[in-house]
Amino acid sequence: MPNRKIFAAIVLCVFVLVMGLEWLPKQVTSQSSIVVEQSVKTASNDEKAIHEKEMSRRDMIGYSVVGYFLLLSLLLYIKIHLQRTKSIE
Amino acid sequence: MNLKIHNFNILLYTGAIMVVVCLLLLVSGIFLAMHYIPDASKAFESVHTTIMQEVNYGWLWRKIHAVGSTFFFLLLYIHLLGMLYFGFYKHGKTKYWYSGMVLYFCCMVIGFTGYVLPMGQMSYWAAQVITSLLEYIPGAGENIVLWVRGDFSVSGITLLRFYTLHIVVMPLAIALMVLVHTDFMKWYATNKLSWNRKGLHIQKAERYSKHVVTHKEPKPFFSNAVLKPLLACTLFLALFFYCVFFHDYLAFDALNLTPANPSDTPAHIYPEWYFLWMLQLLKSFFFDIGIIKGSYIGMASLVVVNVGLLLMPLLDANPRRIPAHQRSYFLVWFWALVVSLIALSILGKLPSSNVTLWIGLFFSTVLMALFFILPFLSQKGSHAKS
Repeated sequence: MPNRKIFAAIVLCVFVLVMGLEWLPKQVTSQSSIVVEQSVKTASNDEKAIHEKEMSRRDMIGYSVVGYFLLLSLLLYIKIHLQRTKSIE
Repeated sequence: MNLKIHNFNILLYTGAIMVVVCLLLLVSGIFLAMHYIPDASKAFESVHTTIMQEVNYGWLWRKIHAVGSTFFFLLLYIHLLGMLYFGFYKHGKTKYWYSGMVLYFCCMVIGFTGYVLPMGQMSYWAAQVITSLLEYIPGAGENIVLWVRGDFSVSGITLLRFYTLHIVVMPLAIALMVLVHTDFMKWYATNKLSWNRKGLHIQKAERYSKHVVTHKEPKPFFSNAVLKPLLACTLFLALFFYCVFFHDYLAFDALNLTPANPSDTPAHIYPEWYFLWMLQLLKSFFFDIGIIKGSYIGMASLVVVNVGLLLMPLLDANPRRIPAHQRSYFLVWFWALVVSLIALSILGKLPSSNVTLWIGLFFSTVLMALFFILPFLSQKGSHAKS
């Protein structure tokens, strides 16, 4: 079986699993959203402002880390590609 | 080994990625253990207040640990099913299969004990339900439950036991089994002298061959052994950290944000996603057959499926190690297994209703029957397609 088919099969299975475990139960019951709403309602305005600031800082760290690994992947891909063309020559 | 980049095989690298996830879990687990208090009254606060709010980057360590465990089990299932697909449990590979299955059971124990530690409402009740399953062991069931819990219900004593299992016993057992599974000692003994810049293939061939070895152009070791798995790992880490920072809800249950309350039973109790198919398997047999209770049939089906997976080398009568797409009957068998596991996992997360129970019964019966028909079915499809 070609790799693309294996990869496609894995992606499809994971997609079905994630949708079945995350999206489907929310259609049946909205219990989880009630808990989240309750936890948000209890916070004051100051706390919300601090929370938002902290969240944006975390997002910034997140984008940096993800960007770093994507860049590293790109460099590795180029390295392998160059090595391959070199060995063919 | 083919150097072409389009031959990048995801199944080949699941093992390498799992080692990286293991290291992430180990490092994050050490940081979490520094602040976690294994006490029934303080565990929830230590996790949700101390670690998540007070400790610098405690939230990040916890999210890495939780999302890491989710990804680890996802990779574990992909790895296991991939090996099943390619028949990597026969002819010299049986040792890897058995050690892999032992690793799988160890991972199940560490996953379960880890889920209980935050002492949220769902953790507590999942522990209560899952430990009570041991009651079905004939003869000494109730005594075993009492021995495991250390009390008549899940309490501080149980938490301390699970904590010890989670941070000491199971990591050691897993580390040991990883060495067995990867055949580390043999690999080390055969390769330690042949590691040089030319690549290990040539010297190994020279050492073990009785005939004159024709020298081929050495393949670059760095590309073969390091770069491609490294590329797989960095791509995976990008996806992993994207989930850690932006989709961490995948690993956290909203009901577990409230502390454990033994007097308030949730309407629908479920464990982490990787146990859901087992839970559904137990629940599916909701009726008694004669004098046999439905719960006992459910427990028996769980044993059949797990033992069936363990004994795959014996159940598959085909003597040749060939992939499933060259064995038409086995291919159907394999996809029936995958579909049943996914369907049971999804049904396990949904609240029980008549529809889910009947669909669950269907897939549970299929899953159990698959292991009974395999010895006969594998004989039929014993000739590989050309």
